[in-house]
Amino acid sequence: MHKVKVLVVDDDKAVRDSLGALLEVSGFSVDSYDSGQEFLTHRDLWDVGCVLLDVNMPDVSGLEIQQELTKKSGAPPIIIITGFGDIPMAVKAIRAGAFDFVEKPFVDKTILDSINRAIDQNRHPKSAESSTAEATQNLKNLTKREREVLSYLVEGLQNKVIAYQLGISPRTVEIHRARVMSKMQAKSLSHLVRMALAAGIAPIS
Amino acid sequence: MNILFLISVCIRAFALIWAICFHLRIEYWQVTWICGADEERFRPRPKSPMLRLLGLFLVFSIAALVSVPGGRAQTRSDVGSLTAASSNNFPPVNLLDSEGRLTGFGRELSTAVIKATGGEVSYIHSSRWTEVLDMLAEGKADFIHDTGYTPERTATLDFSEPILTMPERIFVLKDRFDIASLDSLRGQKVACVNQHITHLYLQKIPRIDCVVFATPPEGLKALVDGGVDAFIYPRQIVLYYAQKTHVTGRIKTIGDPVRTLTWHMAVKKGNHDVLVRLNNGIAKVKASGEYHRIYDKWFGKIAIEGHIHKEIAVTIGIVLALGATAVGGFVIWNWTLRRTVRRATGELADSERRFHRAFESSPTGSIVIDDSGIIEIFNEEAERIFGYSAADIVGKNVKLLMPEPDRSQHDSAMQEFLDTGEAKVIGVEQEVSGLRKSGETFPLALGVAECGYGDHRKFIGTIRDLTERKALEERAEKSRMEAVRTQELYLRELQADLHKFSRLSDMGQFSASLTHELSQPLTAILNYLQACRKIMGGTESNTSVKVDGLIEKAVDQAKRTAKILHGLKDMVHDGEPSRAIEDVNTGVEEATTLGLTGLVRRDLSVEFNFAKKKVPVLINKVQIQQVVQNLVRNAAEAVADSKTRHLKVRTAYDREGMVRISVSDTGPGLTDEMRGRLFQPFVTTKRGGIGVGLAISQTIVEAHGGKIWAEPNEQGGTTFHFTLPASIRDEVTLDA
Ligand SMILES: Nc1ncnc2c1ncn2[C@@H]1O[C@H](COP(=O)(O)OP(=O)(O)OP(=O)(O)O)[C@@H](O)[C@H]1O
Ligand SMILES: [Mg+2]
Repeated sequence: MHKVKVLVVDDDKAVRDSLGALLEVSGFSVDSYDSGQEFLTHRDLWDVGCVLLDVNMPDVSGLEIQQELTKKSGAPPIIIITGFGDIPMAVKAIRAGAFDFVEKPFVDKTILDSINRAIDQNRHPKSAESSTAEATQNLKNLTKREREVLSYLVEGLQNKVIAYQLGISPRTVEIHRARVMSKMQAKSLSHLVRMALAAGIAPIS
Repeated sequence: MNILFLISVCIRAFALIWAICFHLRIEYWQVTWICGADEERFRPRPKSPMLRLLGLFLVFSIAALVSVPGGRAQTRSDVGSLTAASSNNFPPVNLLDSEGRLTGFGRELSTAVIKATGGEVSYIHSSRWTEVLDMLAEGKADFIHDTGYTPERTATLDFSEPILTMPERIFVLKDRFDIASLDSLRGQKVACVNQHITHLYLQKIPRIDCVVFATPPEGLKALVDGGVDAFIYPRQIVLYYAQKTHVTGRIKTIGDPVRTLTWHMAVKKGNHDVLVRLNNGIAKVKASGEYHRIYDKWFGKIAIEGHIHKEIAVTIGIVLALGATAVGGFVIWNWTLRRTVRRATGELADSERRFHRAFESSPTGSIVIDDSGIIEIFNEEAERIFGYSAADIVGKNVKLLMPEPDRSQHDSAMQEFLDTGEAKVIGVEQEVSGLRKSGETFPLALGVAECGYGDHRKFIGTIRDLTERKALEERAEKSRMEAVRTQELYLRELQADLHKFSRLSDMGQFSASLTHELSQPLTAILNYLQACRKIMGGTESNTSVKVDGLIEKAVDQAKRTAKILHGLKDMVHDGEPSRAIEDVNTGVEEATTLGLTGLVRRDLSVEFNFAKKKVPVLINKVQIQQVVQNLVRNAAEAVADSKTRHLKVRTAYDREGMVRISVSDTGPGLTDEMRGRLFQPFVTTKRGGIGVGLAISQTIVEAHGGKIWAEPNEQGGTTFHFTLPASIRDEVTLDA
């Protein structure tokens, strides 16, 4: 059977190698690159199902590569791998058009799900209008406070910080956040951010 | 919390891999047994759809033919009690319980089978097989509830559907690798049970040396004791005894089954009615799941551990243990750090409060400004002198308190000081003019001191109103001395605290990079293990990736984590490290030797140049020795590829009464890029280096109130210096 090709760009050899092994035994074929530069100059993208990109690399940052990539036509979906707790960076990546982000260290289900969704979405794109309409509809169900929390989330702020900004307790922020997720029918934070942006919620700043 | 989650994932991965292995094996057996056929048949073979249809058709037609007489038979003989005969020394199929009653798989199954056809069974049994056959022949029993199938026996018996399959397996000790099949048993000693069907069969194979035992446990014991090379016997029976005698871990099966024997119930030849009834019952018991239950009860727990699986388990165990240690270490480290920060923050707040109180009650006017001239603190005396209230003036520029021309020159003077570090006002008391709120200009004596650290530069101004000088002279002179002293004290305290604070914010940075550094190998370990799980779960068979290789890599990554943590252990200090007065010279000499042990290139020369006198210093000896070791080791590593390999280690008093320890090398020197980042954690240019040596050294030296820095040598190479406050000032400066 034809295997879907997945590219891995990460400067850490062990992470690259292990991710390659995991994806290979999961039925993908894998090409890996140890730097953004090498990847950008040497790779055609026509046969690629999706790209896993570490944001935290020395020469060209993941975000820059992402920008380069999305300029090319027919670019595959990009999944950003962020360091532990680097949510602001992740949100920035989503805003710049990444499909999803995954925090290191991750379990296989998380990353495989994300890859499969990315590939699926790429093959059968849901029309932009219909998803935007859905998001806009869901947005109407939010209370004022929930909208506020959402716009901070879109900015990539952590619960603690949002709590400080709004002058409420972090626990309350968590509750609002859970409500926002369920009302927006978001599967993950990255999904939420994408929907919010589609529906025209701008980050606060 | 995320780390807990991680651990639980590791554990779950572990459990899952095991559950899968275990489950697969059990299932494999059950299916083999229930199919009642050889192990080969169990493996699905592709069949063409046509063949399958044909097969189905055949089955249906036969069923239709058979069902007519079968149906009648049922009404005739599916009621009433039967008597079963069996042997009683073939566990776990047939055996006697502690009270001498027949029990075992055979009895339980036949009870269920007859019950399913609406009747009951009574049992007669004997330890001798020939007697069992007689019981049937003489009509004392209606059927034998289990017997192995041999062609010879069909002369006198009719066999039912199979109720068990037993592969005859070759058992050897676990560490035997030279025996792979029946062929390789030539000339080897093989244990057999006297006159058992396996024995009868093996006798016919030339050049197998049968050693005959009376019972299976004796054969097994001979194998375990090394008296024979192999033991061939029905597998389940051997495993049953092996488990009883706790030797399952020492034996293994090899090669293909010699034969696969089937076990059946049997009736006297021609007793069609009972045979049909038995077959009906067997079919029902298999269909209802009762068969599984009975099978599991008597055979389900028998397991022989696969060789390779055990090793994998051990390896994964080690990996997980290392991983868990790593995570645990990090959690503890994190916790200690947090505690330290909390306490330091508390102390800081405390000393700030004390500082404020001292300021407020000071009889001298005191003002604190930041480095852009903004007033931060304005005490009561200052309020009195200038006529502003603190609330009015705090947050405004200090220029407000000056008349022209000082006012417009102040900004540039301050800037000049910040740029050049040259000050006209700092340190000495000067007479200048001040401007009161009322607009009145007056003479005042101003002393300025700098305090703070790094980005937190602050200036404290003390002000005496000279218009009141005479009136105050006497009182002031006395109290001023005192005030200055207390202020000096608090100032120093504040400075130390600010210093501590700024180090702690470095620690925040440090903590972030540590998290990153640890999450890399953890990610890799998880990936590798999960890949293993997938391979072993068999979801993807056509892969060239090998479990062994992956596990090895996972172990490497776990070691990487362990190494990082090991390097950090020394930074994890809580509370006051114990310090004592030590002689630096001895300490340094010992540490140098320690630092040079275990090096790859040891052909280098070391020159000591020590201060003449003993140099007593209040230190934590272990920590300071660690600093010396780090420097010496770096120096030795630096000269590894140089033509001359020479180190100089010196101790001396410097001009400020500090003790200075220096390590020079003849290495390649520092690149511009490295110079600025030497003391940052995790910055390294070495393969296999972690880049924490100098970071740790800096922490230690500064905690002792000293400094550490590097400078290039004139003849090439690098010198690292660090200083420690001497506990007794020596007037003699030994070295510049
Ligand atoms: N004497 C020296 N000469 C030249 N370069 C040096 C010297 N000492 C340190 N360095 C540079 O500074 C870097 C950091 O040193 P540091 O001791 O902190 O870490 P490391 O030696 O690389 O690793 P480790 O944590 O195992 O000690 C080194 O990698 C090296 O590039
Ligand atoms: Mg070092």
